[in-house]
Amino acid sequence: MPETLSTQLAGLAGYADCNASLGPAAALRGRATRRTARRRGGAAALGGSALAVAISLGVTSTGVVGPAHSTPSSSQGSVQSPGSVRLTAYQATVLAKAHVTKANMAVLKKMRLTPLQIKTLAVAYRTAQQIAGAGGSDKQLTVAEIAAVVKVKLTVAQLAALGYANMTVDQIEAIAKADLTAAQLAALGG
Amino acid sequence: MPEADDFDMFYAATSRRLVRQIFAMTGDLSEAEDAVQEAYIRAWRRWPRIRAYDDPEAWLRVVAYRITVNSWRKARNRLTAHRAGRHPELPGLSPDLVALVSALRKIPETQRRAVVLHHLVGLSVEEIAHETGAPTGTVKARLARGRRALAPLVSELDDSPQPGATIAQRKSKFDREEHAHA
Repeated sequence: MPETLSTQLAGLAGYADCNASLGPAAALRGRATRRTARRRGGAAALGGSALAVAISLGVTSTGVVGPAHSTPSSSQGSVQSPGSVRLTAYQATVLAKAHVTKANMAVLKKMRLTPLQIKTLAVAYRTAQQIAGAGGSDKQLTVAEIAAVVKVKLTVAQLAALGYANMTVDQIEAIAKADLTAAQLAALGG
Repeated sequence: MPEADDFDMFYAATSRRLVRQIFAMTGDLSEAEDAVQEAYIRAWRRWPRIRAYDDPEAWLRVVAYRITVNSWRKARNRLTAHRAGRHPELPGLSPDLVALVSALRKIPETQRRAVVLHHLVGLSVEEIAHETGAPTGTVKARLARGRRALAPLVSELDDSPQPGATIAQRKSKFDREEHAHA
């Protein structure tokens, strides 16, 4: 009796049926949940990092680009020196953790940033990490270091996509426009 | 949790069938298992949407197939140099079916997919066109070419059937003819 293609493929399927071993559905659901949690964690870390970069630009609560640095911890009593640009320990820690991994890149791609913008952002993160130093302690920034950080020229929409839910439009616009030269930064620094 | 129960029931009802289909498309059982499980993981992450589809199983089959194709491409780039010609072992598979797997691996993946969807899954040309995103004419051509390539192994498709010949015997004839063409 001649075998048809369907019969032969059914034979293959039967082999798979006898030999396949699949995990339980609950285990797969667990893996999916863990993966989602990891991705959310990565996105949150990126959001925090981007916020730290923005903070390093020195945006005040009124939306004016002023002498850096206003931070969550500075509002709780840290002394702001008008003649210098400083990173707080909090900012330094956030930035030091801002490794731009492949997963982070994937998150950034989902934010509809262009490859060039992502690359620029990655360079800024790395620069910020170098600025922060290994200890993550407060440190004086040079004009050249800040200039490297503010090379991230994001539009208002991109900044909004980065998750600045708590910022006013004025503040976002101020950051977007903060394409400051080294000289301007030096002037802001007093 | 009704959603989880719903998903678990769907998984129990469809997962083995999908492994069978993906195995027929790839010829690699462990890869088929991995791809199918990965597809279900992705499905669970967007289950409320997927369960509302007319045919969630088709969505899973497409995703699992794409996963295998992507992993083929990666593996091909990485391993071609030192693993050319080697395929995973299929212990316990009859010589006839080994010959069929070997022949399926020799035809292009688009033809293999069309053949499996039509002859194993039982989809019509229109349904295959819908699932693969190809025009019906293209699907017909892929099916025809795939069948023609497999003809020496399959009695119903062979122009000159040899009564009593096993698939393995026809396979060696198929290989000899292929050598002669080369």
